Amino acid sequence: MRQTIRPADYHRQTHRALGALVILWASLILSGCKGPESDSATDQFPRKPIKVIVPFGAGGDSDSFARIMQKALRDQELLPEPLVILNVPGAGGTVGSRRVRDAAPDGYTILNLHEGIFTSKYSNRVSYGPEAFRPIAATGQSSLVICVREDAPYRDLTDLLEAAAGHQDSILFGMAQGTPTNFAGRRLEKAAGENVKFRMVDSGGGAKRRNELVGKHVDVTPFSLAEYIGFEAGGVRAIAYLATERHPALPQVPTARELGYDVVMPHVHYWWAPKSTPDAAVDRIADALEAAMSSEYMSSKLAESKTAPLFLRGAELESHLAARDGEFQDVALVRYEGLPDPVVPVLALVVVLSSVVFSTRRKSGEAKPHLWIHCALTVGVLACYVLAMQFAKAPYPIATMIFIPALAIVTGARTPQTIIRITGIGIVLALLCFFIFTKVLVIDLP
Amino acid sequence: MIFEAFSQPSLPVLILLGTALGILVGAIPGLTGAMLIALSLPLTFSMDAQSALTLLVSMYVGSVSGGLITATLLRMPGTPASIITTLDGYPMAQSGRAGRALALGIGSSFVGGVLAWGALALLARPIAQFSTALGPFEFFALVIMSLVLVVGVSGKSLNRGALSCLLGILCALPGTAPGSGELRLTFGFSAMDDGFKLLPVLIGLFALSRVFAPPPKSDSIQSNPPPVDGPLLLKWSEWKGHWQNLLRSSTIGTFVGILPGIGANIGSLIAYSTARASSKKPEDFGTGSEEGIVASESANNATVGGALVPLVALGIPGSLIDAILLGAFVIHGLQPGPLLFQNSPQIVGTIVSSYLWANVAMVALMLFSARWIARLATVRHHTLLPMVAAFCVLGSFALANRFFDVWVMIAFGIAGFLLERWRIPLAPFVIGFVLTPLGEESMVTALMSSGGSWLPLVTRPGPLVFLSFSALLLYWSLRQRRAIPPSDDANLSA
Repeated sequence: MRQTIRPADYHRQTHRALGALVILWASLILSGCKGPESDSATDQFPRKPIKVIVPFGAGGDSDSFARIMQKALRDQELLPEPLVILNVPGAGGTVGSRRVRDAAPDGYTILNLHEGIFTSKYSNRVSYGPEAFRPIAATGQSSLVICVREDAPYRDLTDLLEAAAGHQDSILFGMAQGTPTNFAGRRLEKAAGENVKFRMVDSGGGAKRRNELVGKHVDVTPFSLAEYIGFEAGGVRAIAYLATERHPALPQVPTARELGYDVVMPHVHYWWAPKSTPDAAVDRIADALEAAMSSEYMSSKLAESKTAPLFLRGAELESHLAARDGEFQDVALVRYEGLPDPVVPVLALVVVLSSVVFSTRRKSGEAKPHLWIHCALTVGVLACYVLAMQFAKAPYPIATMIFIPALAIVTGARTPQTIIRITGIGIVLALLCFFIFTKVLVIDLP
Repeated sequence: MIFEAFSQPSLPVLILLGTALGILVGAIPGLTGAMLIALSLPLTFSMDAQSALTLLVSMYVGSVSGGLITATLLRMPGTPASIITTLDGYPMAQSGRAGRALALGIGSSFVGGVLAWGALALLARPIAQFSTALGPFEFFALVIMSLVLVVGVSGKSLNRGALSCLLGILCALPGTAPGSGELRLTFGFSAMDDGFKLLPVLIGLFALSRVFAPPPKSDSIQSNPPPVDGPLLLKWSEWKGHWQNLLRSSTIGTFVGILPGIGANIGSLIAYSTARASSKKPEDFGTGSEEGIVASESANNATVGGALVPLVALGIPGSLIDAILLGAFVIHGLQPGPLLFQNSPQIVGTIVSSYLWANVAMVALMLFSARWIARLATVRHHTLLPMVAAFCVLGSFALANRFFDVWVMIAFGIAGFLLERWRIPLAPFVIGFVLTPLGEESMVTALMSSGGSWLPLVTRPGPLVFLSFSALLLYWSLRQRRAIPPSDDANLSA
């Protein structure tokens, strides 16, 4: 097939191809689509959707729990406005918790955070703990399971702790630094007596610790109950459950308390509001959570993950939190000393190498001022766009509609025709993105 | 490992969509697969993990393949993976055999992809199961080896590669230090508590840096592509002389893919050199040799499958794009490694089978579109770039709903632009950035379990092997520096 193409045709074809690209993008975005929800307004709290900050990534334990709760509330219409889950992951949950601590105390921004709120304080990661928030409720509880390898010589926890007393600092205890797994290890040592000492090894999250345990790189490690149930088939044996009573799913596993070591390490999903949030909002949310907890959907989901349907609020919750706070407070985390600091050597090497590279640099390809002007202009337009949204509170669609033609002019669009066309594209794109991100992906745009 | 991609009705649609988008960006010079995948990642937040990975893997396959069309017809490699294809594809198209050049390229891409799929399906699980034997010392040594490897092959200058890698490591250090849990290099900003996130860094380096680069002069827009005639689907018998080359190049591609940190461009380069060395007519290479096209295109597609092996089995990215896919795993709460095979066999199966079907979709789409897709190369930059920039801002903001990430993205966009101006390759930077947390965590675990001793690095067999191999590699790349054919650093890096 032989084709000869005139220039006009040629450009039309180009645009058609570009159109295809845009349509594909749009269909990609829409394929992840869920219908937008509409809600009726009421006079009381809440008048608008409540943002729940989950300070961990999507798909994790906290995120799944919050999303199950969101569905339970929505399906039974327990609140006139929906919960909106916002993942703000980072730095062990403190990026998200800091955001809620500093949010307006109106009940429209709340936090879902487990024991991380205590551990990040007592491991000195942040200066604030639960006292910086107003607790709304505690929902759902499971506890840590102490596990060894299937073929390990320790029959039970007593065996293990005696071995740890006999051979101090030689049994490797896998944990994640500054998390409840770390505290669990220290509390076991403390409960078992003066001379019991594990060698604490920071070996990361549950899946990593399981690999380390099975691969004989650590000897003992705690898992959350849900993790343990996932690993059970793969060469892992539970020797103690760190709760007040045995779990119905693991009737053969004794609690540490039964064996004479008073260590419990529950895992509870807490809901927090900024410190001075009014009673009305806190009570309204707590009511809804309480009703959701007793729903059939919630019980079946909790049973799936072997979580006990604990619900606490008000004075009960306050005393529970005070007790938990004490548990974390009375163990000192020992920080491992003697780790090399990579910052200085890396910095030194960068300085040395860059001086080598730039001293041998050829001088031929220099002096292109238009290039730097172009770059500076582009950065300038981009910076104005972001600053306008961040500080001047410019609404996203408007800012984008101005930004796209502005950048097109900077990058070389000259004829009025082109600029008009790009402005058109900009308007469509801005509205499309705004609709998709706010309605479909429920991500807040400025 | 074959039919999981049909377990949900939406998955085949995503494969088609992803492959098509991949081919399109692959064909447009200036847009790369890394850019497409980094920008699409925020859109997959609302999908389940299975759909997200299906889509991203398909984009990966499409983007490595799409470049061959513009490389052949216009001598504009749409992606770095196709640079080597221009050497023979373009002369062949100029001499009136454009159809045959494309047919060979498409067919070889498919064969390379399918053979690499076989390797992926066979190797991933055993490697993952073996990996529990790898302790922290082994992982630390493995990371060191990967870094040496990517520095060694990253370009003409070892110094520049090493500098790039060290800068990447430096950028990975701010935030919470593993082990001590202390904050470092945050300069008092609480937004820095978690350091720089992977996604804004990648979007900046790969997508936004293109926006800063100067627009090409309008008169440099290529003339019309040559006419494509003849059938694009070659007969079985026409492949007869190529089987040996196909097998060899695909094997090289797969193996290069498995090696951590290096990807399609290096794979096709090595396969091309090997094909030339063992050819009966080496003088034809560079003037329109069929063997050259077959070697380059089968190898670059094979690296994709190879590179997925260490990603799925160990969580170590086999290439640049796999570094972004690793981000997708993390965002969807998945930890690559043996547990992934045990707890989410569905996810692994979907990845492997969608890789296979994306190759099938690639062939179908390329056969259908090859005649007109070359025109995409002439889309004006000022039409595309503002849209790319708007998506960059949106994507990095959507990650954690904060403007800090947008500024990080802009900063790394400028950094990417400057690095490219200074001919410092990007690949070591990204691999250094991605592997530093893994390396440092392994180091902390290792030292805590050995009580502070480094000795197991040389007394245990695993680390010893990895470290000796890295030393050997370093020695080899210092000696062989001149043997690497001259090609632009910036091209090899992306």
